[in-house]
Amino acid sequence: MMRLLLRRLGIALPTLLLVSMMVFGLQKLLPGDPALALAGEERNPEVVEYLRAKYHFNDPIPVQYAAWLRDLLRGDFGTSIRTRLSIGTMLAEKLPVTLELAVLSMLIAVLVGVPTGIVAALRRGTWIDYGTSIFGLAGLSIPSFWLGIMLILGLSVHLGWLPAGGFVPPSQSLWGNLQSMLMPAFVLGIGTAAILMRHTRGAMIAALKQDYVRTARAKGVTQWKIVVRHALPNALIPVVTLATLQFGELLAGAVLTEQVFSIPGFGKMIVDGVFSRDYAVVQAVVLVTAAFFLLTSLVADAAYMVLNPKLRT
Amino acid sequence: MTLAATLASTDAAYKTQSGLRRLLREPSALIGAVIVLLFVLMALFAPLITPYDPIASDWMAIRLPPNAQHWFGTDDLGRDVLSRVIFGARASLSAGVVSVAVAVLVGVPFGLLAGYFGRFVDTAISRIADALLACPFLVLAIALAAFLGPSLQNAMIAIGISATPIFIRVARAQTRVVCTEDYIAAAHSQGIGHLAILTGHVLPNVLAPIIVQATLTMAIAVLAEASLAFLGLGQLPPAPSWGSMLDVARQFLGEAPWMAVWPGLAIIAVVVGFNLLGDGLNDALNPRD
Repeated sequence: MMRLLLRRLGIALPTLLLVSMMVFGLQKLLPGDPALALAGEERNPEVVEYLRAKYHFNDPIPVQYAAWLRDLLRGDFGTSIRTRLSIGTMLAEKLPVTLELAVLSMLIAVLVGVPTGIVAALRRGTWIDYGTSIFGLAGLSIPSFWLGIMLILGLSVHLGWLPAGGFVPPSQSLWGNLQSMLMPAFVLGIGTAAILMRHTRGAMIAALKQDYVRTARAKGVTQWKIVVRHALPNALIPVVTLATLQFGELLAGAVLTEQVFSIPGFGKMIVDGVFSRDYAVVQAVVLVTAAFFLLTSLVADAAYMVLNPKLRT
Repeated sequence: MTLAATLASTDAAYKTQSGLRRLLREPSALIGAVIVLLFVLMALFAPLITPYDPIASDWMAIRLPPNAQHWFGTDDLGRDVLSRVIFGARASLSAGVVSVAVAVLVGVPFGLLAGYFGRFVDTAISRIADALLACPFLVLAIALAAFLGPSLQNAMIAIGISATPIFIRVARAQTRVVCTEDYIAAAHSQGIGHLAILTGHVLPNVLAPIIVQATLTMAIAVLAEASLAFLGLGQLPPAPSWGSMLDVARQFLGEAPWMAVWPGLAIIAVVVGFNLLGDGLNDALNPRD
């Protein structure tokens, strides 16, 4: 198992290096002098000169990349031209907000997706199964930002039950924090719930056809025990892997959700970065998202190996 | 035509014909096809069927609720929402078609090369695809659109590049399977060149899963275009786009909720259409799945 994990890590690290080259290459898409573009609209000559020296723009591209990568490895993502803050500090401030949103969304996705998938598999071909299929299709087809707008319209504008947007830090008020995160987490989580539901249904149907389930039935084991003790643990192995992988996707989905609900997280940071032409911020967010995505892939592999008895040796 | 080429084309033609027969028996796929066709016709004939100019403001008709003159109501500048929704189909569908075309035209040749040659070529291409896949679709599209500049054209390029690794993966995997077939070995034994084998023997037999993936990716691309336009990185105002219409509608939720309802429903209908069609095509063309 350890060898397999090390092999996966051996693939993940060069992939991350390639991602860093791509993210670095984004700068080269900018028309004209990159130092002028990175300096933003003010184009303060001192800032332009600082950027030219910092990013080695007068040197060959490989030297520029090496210098940029060296700074990254030291944890120096650069300075935001909009806030004048270190991007590393901004990331440390915004990432926990988005992580909280992603964790709550995943909680909703698992609580909705897995039980409905199990019920759909057990009631295959009934109206419950068709209903969950429609839910699955809707979850994949409804744009999260539109769902967010509709929920704000219904639950905030008309009923006044939940705040329409904004973020209350948990340190300030735990209840206020949950209230401000409930709608965004639902909006972000419901698409993942649909994906988990579809896979849980498929995995349960496959597990219920296995010989060990037939043997258990022949021995007179109750349906409840067959589902909970025999089929479910096996069906959940790929679902756990998928849920872990989806966690990385939630970070990307947070971009739109945070924009709709004005949550000052990681996703809003990239959008604000785009509109203030704060390209170093955009690069940092892409890089950290990719690193996080690769990390979740590794965790998914590890979870699969731990849960699958065939790979435990 | 050589024997190997005949076998390869017969295999591809048989798969396509039996797949089409199965597709016609899939009601959900047919519903999807009808929805997509309706929106394509709507986009093509938009100038003929829209009751009003989608861009012209009418200061006497600002934020009117749905009524006999304006079935979907009007927006903050007095523009007819129905006309803007109909014209918005053009941005969404063209973004879907162009970005998927970019992804297919770049991704499939690389996937074929990786699957056919294997070894170093496969490792190099697969690692690049992995790196692109490590950046979530929307984040990569936002970053590319940001660096290229906001416009519908750049949004299409950004979505296309972000979707490319999906097609590299699909074409590579299918090529590896096809390369184990006897007609490929026969083609090699007859001394046929690599390019001729790839284009004449492998490509026709990997098309089915690529068509399925292209249809499903159209749904993702339409959603991505709407998302980028919602963030201000797609079609720029005043040209109508469902995503940018939703962005504006957000500011008038209390006073004019109809501004937000119709563009959203249009996005859902098109995405459902492509998803149903893609799932149906998958069942018809890849029955073992």
